[in-house]
Amino acid sequence: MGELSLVLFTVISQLAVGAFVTLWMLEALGKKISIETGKMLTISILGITAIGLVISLTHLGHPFKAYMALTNVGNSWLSREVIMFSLFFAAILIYFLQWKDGMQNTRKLIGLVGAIIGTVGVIFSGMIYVLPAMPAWNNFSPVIFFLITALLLGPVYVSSVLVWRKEMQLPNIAVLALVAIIISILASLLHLSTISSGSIAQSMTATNMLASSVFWLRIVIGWVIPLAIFAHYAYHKQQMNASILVTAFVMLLAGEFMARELFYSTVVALQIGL
Amino acid sequence: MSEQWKISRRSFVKGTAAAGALAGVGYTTDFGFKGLKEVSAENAGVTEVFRNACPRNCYDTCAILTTVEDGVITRVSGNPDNSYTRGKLCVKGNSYTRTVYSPDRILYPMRQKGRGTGNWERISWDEAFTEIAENILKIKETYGSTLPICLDKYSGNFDVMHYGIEGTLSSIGYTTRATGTPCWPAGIDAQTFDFGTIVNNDPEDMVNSKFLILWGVNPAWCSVHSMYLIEEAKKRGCKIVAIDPILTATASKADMYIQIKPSTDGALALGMARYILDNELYDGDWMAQNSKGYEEFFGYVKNNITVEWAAEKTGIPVAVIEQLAYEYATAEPANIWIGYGMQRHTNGGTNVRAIDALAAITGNIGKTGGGAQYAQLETWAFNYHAMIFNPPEGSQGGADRPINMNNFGADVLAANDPPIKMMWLACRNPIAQDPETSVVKKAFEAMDFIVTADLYMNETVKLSDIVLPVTTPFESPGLNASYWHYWLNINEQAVKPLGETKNDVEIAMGLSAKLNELSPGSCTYPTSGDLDEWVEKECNSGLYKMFGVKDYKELKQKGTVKAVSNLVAWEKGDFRTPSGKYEFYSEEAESYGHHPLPVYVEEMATPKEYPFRCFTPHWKLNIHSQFQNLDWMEAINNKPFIEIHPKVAERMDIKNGDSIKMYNDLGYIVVPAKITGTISEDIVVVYEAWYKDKNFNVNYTTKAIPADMGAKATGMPGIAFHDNFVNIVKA
Amino acid sequence: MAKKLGFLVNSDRCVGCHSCEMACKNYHQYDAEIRWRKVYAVNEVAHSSVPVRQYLSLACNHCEDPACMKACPVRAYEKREDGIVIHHHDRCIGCKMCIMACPYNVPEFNPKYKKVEKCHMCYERIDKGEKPACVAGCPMDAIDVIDLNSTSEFGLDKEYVGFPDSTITNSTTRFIKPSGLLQVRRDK
Repeated sequence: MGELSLVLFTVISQLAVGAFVTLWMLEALGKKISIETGKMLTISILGITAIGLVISLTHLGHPFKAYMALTNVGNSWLSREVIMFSLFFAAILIYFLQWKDGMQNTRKLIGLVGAIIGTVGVIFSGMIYVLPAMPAWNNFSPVIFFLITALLLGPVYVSSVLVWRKEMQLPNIAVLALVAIIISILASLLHLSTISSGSIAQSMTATNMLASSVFWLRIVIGWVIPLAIFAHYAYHKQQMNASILVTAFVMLLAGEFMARELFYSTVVALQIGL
Repeated sequence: MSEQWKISRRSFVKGTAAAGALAGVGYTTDFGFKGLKEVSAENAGVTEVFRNACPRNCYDTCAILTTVEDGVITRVSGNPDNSYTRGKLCVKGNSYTRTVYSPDRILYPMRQKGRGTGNWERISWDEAFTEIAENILKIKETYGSTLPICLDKYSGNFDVMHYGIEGTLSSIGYTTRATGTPCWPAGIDAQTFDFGTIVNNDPEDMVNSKFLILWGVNPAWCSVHSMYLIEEAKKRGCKIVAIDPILTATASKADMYIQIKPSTDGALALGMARYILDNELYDGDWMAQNSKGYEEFFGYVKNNITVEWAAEKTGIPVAVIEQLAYEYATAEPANIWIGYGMQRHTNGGTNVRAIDALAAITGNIGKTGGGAQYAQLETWAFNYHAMIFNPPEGSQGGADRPINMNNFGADVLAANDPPIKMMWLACRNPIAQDPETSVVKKAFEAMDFIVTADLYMNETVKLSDIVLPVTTPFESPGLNASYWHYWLNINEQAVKPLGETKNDVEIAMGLSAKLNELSPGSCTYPTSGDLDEWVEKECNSGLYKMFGVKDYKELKQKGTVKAVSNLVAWEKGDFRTPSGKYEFYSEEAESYGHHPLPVYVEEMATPKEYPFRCFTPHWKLNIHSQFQNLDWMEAINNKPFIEIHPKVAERMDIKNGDSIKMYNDLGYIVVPAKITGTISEDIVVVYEAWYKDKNFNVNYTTKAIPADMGAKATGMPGIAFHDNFVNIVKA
Repeated sequence: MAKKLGFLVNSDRCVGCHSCEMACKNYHQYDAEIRWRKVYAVNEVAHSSVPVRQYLSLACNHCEDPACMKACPVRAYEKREDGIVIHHHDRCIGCKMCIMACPYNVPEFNPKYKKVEKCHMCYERIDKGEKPACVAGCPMDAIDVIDLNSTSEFGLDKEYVGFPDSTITNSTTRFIKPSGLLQVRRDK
């Protein structure tokens, strides 16, 4: 139960950051997005972030005291994450207010700041889990996996909305998504093989993963099927329509939820006796 | 391999569900206990400290200090005034606040509508007494006597006031009594034949030993205050040798551990005796002055025993036996602690005699730091005022009828002329603890009426008709002696009785009042009395003198006192045998059908179909069916298991945690496996305990095999609990 | 010089009786399923080639570099001058970061309060010159509290079989390993 809220919060917040960075970058690269669509996208990202933050509070024993979580920035990655995502929320809000005619430059600047804040926030989220007490996590992998989630979900989400709004075609979304999936697969493989031959706690984590049916389900739903879809469109240099993009997005999202669930539930902590 | 990881992996979030469900008895506790209480004594209203005593069937019988704040016990601790308790309690003692305040506690008299249905309804004490009295009077009318009423009571509470339970039954007429004792009688008889009765040295004297054999005893789990003394002895240069079929937590602390073949302890002792004889390491002077029959004994040893034979019998190499004998015989002084576990075999009593003989031939008896320690009842110099009442005028039957407590089920069913129709069970849980559980259950089924007096809804209470709620030691006064150390501990009433609980003496008084109301003169038990006064009535001048106090007032003021003399057993050589000497050759033993000398009696053979010997020793988190059921104890461990040797596990492809069915022709149990190299290949170990919500009772496989001795001192032979042969299979 | 208090766990004297953990529970009267001190059965062949029954009693290691204190977002942990690491119940928001971060499984989550709890070395007793409840309650005198700044660590170990690397957080718990015994066994 406590794990579910973290699974949801982390994936959702990473989706929001990935989407925000994508939106900012599209404008920065010169793509034209209508004010209405821009506002809609930004508001949706704000909403997703808000939902994520509320869900994260349910992980706490005493959610109404969560404001106190800002007090140990000097030591605690959780404190730092809370600050970052609070700032990120503010940045999205301010960014939203820039979606007016003629505010393009300001908007790109705010967008840059927000993108940096968001990315740093995702990194801090990952750093929370880099703990000696959790050998399978005690490396860069939590940070990498969290960033990959943002990379995997953000652009596809934004593309789905843009294509659905008939704003533009994104000819390279299939290639981009394909590359992201391959990075995800490679990172996971590398991590899994490293911990399989690592210390007892690490190899136990690996065993837990391989023994879980969710692991295999995730491979099919979160990687294989989306991979096939994007590969097809990339190979045939075809445009992806809204419904196919949304389908792919939903599968990727489901895959990330499953992967995150595995992340939290398979880890074996250092314990007395191991 | 992968399954193992799943069982032992720690989940990321350590969320635990609250333990301790309410028993299905339809009431709630009034005491809501707060966690993390950072309130100090000064902040609470009224804080008092009382002296209590742990009345359990345990060597240590601790002196307790109980802190009570605003009428609620907030903590217990050992009384530092008692040099044996040393201010420390064991894991069980420290859980006492849960014994008192457990939500499972029975607080009101209850009647079960349909025995075994779990359909309990609360009744008043008046209703309870009325129904019980009516049943008693009906039996009297039908059968002409109260012999069909059977009492099964033993060691649930050894506080002297609880002999009021026997008194209850004595006061209504002649009744049937479950006689004997399941745990230690073979050894008692053995020491009775040898010394005249059981007396041990003050255990605090153990620190003076230079060589100490722990023979089939596990003080680390069963007498932890003595374990401290053993470590003290070690510090002063004592060599500790542990002889045990199981490498216990105690044996793990010895200097040397000898893994003896079960039930062959007498052979080892006799083999050692042969070596001592051959090498003239015996104390001829002591034997000449203090013993009778040593020539016959040596004759037997010389003609029948060789060290090689002993090695073959016990599985211990010749060189080890010889070295052990040499070190034991030449150490000054050398001590042996004979455990009760060691004598729970068909040849247990005679094995104890052989070990006693070792102490005698080396002149280690009557010495500080020496001896053959087993138990003592010297300090129990009470009046037993709560117990001794005559049956009413005109009672029929002639005398109480004894049946074998150690073959309870079968004896109850076999009783005839008159048959047994009603049972009173207090301080005893035969459904959980007796061998041949199914036979005991059948005996229960044959009863018209069953009364239990108990704290919790245990297996015996679940099969009774009426349960009477009793007080814990903290809720009524009493007095406690130990069968090991030499302290006398006052037990004060620390808090008011919870709910409507009553002390067993109060129950006796209430029943007497009701009986006399319905049928004047049918019960001689007083119908009222002050419990504190009754405690004083247990004391006499002999008791006061023994403990060096002037009177009861001084005893109460001090709270815990130690005997002032006779702390080294048999120091004056004043043996209480017929000859007045230590008897190697005992005609008393002969009159009970045993060989007069401590000879070797063959151990029970292992049947082919049941190749494993199942030991059922005491567990560390309980005393029989007490304590393991408490929520704090369950947090430490909440399931039984079977210990299996690694080679056996390998042969049968058993892994840790695998479900194992242990069975014989009597019954079976199913428990998870725990693989350990601390036992031998031919045994399995299942610790006896009552787990509140588990369908576990190892006694489904335990037969009521009698030990060889016990009838002389206790009326019935003991039980060979550890001669239980079984087989195992993956379930 | 300020004190550096740490538990001394003498596994040579310890018989695994669990009195210490129950003495702690008895003194502080906390909820049944929570265990501030736990007695573990050590691997039978950890210190010898022949199996023995051996035990390890552990509570909080009051680390010099506490992982719990670093991870806690609300500064609910405090390390006293004498080294005792205290968890302030009132500040805790139940985020369980400390549970994740502690290599020794020390903090426990209490679902009733939705906060974390752990051993606080009975500092209220230490301040009165008394020993913690577990130390006072051990019938074998197998655990103690020592000042690492004024006690020689000769003969004491920082590591113990099954105990996670003490250098992760510089645990102040020190161990005495059980000594061997001669065993005469029937198995080959």
